[in-house]
Amino acid sequence: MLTRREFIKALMTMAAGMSIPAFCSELLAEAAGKQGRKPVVIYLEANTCAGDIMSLLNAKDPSLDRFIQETIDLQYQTTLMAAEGSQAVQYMYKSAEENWGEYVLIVEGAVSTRENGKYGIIGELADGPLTGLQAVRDLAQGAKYIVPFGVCACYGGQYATPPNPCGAKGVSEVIGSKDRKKVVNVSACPGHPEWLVGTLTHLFVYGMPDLDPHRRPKVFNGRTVHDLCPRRSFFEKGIFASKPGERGCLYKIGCKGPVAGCDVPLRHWNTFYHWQWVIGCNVPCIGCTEPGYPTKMMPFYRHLPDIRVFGSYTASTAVAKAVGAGTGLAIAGHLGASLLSGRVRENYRKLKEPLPPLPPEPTPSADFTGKQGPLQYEFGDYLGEPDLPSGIDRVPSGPKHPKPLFGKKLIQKEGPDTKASLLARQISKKWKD
Amino acid sequence: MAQKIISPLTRENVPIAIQVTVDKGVITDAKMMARNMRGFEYMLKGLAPSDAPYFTERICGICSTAHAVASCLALENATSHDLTKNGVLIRNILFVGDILQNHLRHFYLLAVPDYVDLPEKPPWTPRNRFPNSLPKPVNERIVKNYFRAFEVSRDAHTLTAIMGGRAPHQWSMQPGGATIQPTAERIMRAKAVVERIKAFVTQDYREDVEALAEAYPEYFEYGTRPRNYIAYGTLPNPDKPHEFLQPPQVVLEGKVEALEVKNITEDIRFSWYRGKNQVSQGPFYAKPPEPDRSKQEAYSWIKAVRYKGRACEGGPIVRAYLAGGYRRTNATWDRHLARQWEAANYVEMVLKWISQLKEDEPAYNHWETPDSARGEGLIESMRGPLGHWVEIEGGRIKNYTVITPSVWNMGPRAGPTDLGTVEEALIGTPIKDIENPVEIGRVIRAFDPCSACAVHVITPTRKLEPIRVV
Ligand code: SF4
Ligand code: SF4
Repeated sequence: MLTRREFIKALMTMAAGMSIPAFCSELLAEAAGKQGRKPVVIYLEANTCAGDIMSLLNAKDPSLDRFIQETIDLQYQTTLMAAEGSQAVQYMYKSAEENWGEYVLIVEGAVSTRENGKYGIIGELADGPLTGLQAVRDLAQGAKYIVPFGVCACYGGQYATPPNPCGAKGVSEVIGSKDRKKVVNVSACPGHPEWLVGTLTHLFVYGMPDLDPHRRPKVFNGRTVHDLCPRRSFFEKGIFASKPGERGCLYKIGCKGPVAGCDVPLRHWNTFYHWQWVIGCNVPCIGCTEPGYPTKMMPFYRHLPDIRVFGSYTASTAVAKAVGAGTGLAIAGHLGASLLSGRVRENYRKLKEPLPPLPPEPTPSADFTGKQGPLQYEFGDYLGEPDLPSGIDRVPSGPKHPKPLFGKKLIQKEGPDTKASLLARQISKKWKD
Repeated sequence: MAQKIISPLTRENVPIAIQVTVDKGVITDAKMMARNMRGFEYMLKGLAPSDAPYFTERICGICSTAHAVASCLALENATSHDLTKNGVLIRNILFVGDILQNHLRHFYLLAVPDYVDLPEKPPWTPRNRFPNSLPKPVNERIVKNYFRAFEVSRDAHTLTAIMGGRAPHQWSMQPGGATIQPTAERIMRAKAVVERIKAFVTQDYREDVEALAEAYPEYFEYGTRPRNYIAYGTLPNPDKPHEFLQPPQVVLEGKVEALEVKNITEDIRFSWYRGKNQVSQGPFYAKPPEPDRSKQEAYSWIKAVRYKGRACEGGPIVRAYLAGGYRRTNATWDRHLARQWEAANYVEMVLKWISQLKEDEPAYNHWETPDSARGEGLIESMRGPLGHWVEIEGGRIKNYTVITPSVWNMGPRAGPTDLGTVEEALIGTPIKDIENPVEIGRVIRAFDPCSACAVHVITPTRKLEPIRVV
């Protein structure tokens, strides 16, 4: 078995155009053999676009089907599981009970906290609807580790964009302080399948990985995009793209690489061809791994107004030499500060009109109660109740669904026959006779 | 009379809830309840228009490319922007990669578990128990293909990633075209990947749908509804970027006519918005109505969208009908067969497009944000008609409206007898065993349901009451 050091080294150096799940699943299998059972995983989907599970389905070598068949014991995953309805939710709780203290809880999607979670209902229990908030807080207590997968689950992400209509929050913000110590954030939008597999392996085989201040594994998020960027030499030389689609450093058209902790410049996405990542496509990095994404990263194409140094920073090698690498870092630091304070977006908005009041910043507390007052801000006037636009009759003519129609529904025959429709007709005829 | 609520309806992208009333073994009433909300349209207010494609992509992770296309079309429409042929080709190719991925994942990963016996271990147990009428070898073959589909659908997504830089949530599609050049390497890899999945999509997929249809023939009847269809344009024409390969059309009671946006209405009577009969009419540049979560008799965040007052269905079955590829009724198997027909067709089309890419011609024509403009982007996505409407003022987004296919398909009723599309399809379906109501899932999943994209439109302004479900 690899030592932890060797493992970390392998994760970091194998990054370049190779896939890590292959050796991770071997390690996991080995560990599972020792412990006598496969690692139990409960994968919860809160308020999500399902992009993270789609991203995970794109895992390579082995693909996800083999991973869930051979390597882990996936107990609950709403996109893949066969059960539905209360059967599914009850099983989730049963499985958590049986594996209390053992399982890893993966959460995808932000947790809706508005009105105690009523904006994100993920199932139905005997005593009423089950909110995502409730499920996350329940399952977090029994989890050995909690792995929010994707930036929404980590920090609220996309859905926390002001005015944050559903009160979206990251997992860490809604669970108790004791449970918060079990969290390892696997960020990005969507989450990188390799990061998830690598993190799970580390957790099962070696325990808690080294974390950065945002509780992300340092091995994946410890270096910035800017540090690893193949266009870094363009940056140093001051060769900048002036619009998307151009070669050159994309800093001037809004690249957030200097503040994004992310090893994708080496690892790439999907099949790992060298252009399969944002800058490889000649568009600026949007910093999707960071807390505050996307609010603090928008406008994606606006280069950061606070950085005056660019006033005299032209695209000439001579200037670049004078500026040197040190300034690059200073810029990055400055940029980081202004991004983190959310000034970029505010400045942008200020240019045009006064900012709409933002919802109050959530104050994370150890015993989060999910309570939140009525919303402070008001959008949209009520438009009144106009009649139907002229020329449109609401209910189609003719009787509609008076009684159950089964048995009386007509099979309409029309249109040219294709092989498929002929076959369909044959089969349905056979069945009717 | 029994009432049953299934929540979460799993194996669909972002679980939705469904409440059915069963009387004497037959569904007499059905309510599609979308109970997760996010409120994208209000988040978009005040943003830079050029951020919209990336931002709206995140409405749905399984059809993200569709939102990028619609958003780009809306922005380009706002300034009457021209695209290069290469740009349209690349965008079409990466879009079709996503469509293929979607169709494969939808059928195998989401629908197939309703009909076959998968391995007896989680996540495939527990499950609804049903008499499996498949011969054993066929069951085995389909299970094998179920697992193969994980890889094939991933390969289909790779096509998107080759042209778009990543999947899901691609990079290169921008208002103005695509920001990558079709280099020899990209063309070669794209071709190879399509060739690799071609046999599976055109043969195995087809055989599996047919085998299932043969084993469960009653689903040639379950799920039918009046033939009211709607389709926006299917894929921009690379030779004439402002036209579609298949023009926007509707089918009303079986009659085909050209689509006019002003005939589209949105009704909120049974949705959680304040007001009783408030109806908004296309094109949708106005502000959405205020939410009201405590509204009596409302049961969904989705609004009831109608064309000339009729609930219309969108999706592959409609496109296949309009293209003349598949024209039987609209029962459960018809929806699956039409989807396969379309996937097989797209494989051919995409190969043709890849060979038309020109290495030395530009793919991107920079788009500048206008000061004030309005644009409309209508496109057929995997699940049906997707519309984005953007109003730009002072160089920023003033209003942004999205009406997704799942609003058409999964929406609630607009009146006591004016049911939503899936609701119509469910009524009349017999339920053999109320404890294992497999029929409901089978009928709904043929629509390729997805509530991720349907519920994005609102913002709360007042205190909410807890939900009561009877
Ligand atoms: S600013 Fe962006 S494009 Fe330029 S070197 Fe840094 S990460 Fe690369
Ligand atoms: S956008 Fe930037 S932070 Fe996000 S995955 Fe790409 S390189 Fe990493």
